[in-house]
Amino acid sequence: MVSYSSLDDMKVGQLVNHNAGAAGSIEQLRQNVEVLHDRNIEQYFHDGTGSDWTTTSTQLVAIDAGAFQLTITTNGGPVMTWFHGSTRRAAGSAFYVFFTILRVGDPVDAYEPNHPQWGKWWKPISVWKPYPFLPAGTHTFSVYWMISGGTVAAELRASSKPCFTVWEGY
Amino acid sequence: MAWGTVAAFTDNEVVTAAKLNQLADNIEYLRASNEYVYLYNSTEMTTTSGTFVSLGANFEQAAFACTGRPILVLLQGSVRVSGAGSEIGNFDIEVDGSRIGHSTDGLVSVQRETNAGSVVTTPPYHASIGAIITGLAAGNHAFKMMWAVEAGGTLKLGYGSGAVKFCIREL
Repeated sequence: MVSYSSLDDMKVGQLVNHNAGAAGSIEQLRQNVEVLHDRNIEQYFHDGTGSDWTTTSTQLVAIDAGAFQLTITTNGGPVMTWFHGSTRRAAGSAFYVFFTILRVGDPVDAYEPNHPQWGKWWKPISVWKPYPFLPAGTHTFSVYWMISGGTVAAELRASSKPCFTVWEGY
Repeated sequence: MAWGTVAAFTDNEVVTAAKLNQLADNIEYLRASNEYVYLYNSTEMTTTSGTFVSLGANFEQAAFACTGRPILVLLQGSVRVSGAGSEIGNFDIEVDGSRIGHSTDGLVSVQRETNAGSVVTTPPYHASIGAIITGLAAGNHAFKMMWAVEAGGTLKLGYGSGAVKFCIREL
């Protein structure tokens, strides 16, 4: 498996084919291009079976840490996260359903939760969240949700095959 | 510029122009990956089809060139359903002749509101509908944006002649 690494500047008169396996060589440049082409991606695409997900939590909780939680190994740089599906709340009072995506371990900042959805009718939900400056290594992301009042449930439609994807680059 | 495989360089290899040119082509390819974009800004589109049908020729690509990378298919616009009850409309994506969503519920759903208090009886909602398709081999692949609605309903896209954006691109 090829990996990305910083190149030393090439110099006038340098033999680019010398010591091809070392950083700074034409081979490392080739590998860097390969990495940019075949960037890492992780995806969970639900199969459309089973019961809808529900929550009555008024605090952000993971929808499903077994499904909508993905770990990706990156070469350093931007990572995009995207979750989509269909959502509603159970019939009853006018509460909002909120979604967001968080890197596991990050604090919930003042702008979370975002992406509210209202209504007892199914609607598409699509949440994107870019992480522009992540260091190389392993990062885990999870989709969270909550409802503004705990007397009715937020619902995520299983048959609509909700999907969560995390990938390097934008 | 077309993407092509460049074999690994070895110590003291005589580097040919062909290999360096392909490497240069690959960098150019990454800078401008294959992409299809269609912007619609006209009369609200509608369907009453109970089975999944294409949104039309502008929302399809019969032979989109892929190089093995993930493919983003994305439709953005306002959606709504009119009807007599709480009919559900569904969107889906067809790849090489097979839809990726549920057999009847598709990929995402939008349902007609029955809230009598709404200013608009069938209010539109902004939606980004799509998926990232992984596992496609290098070569040409066919993509179609599809939609369907339950009997008695009309699924609509682009409320008030609002812009509808559709794109297919390699990530």
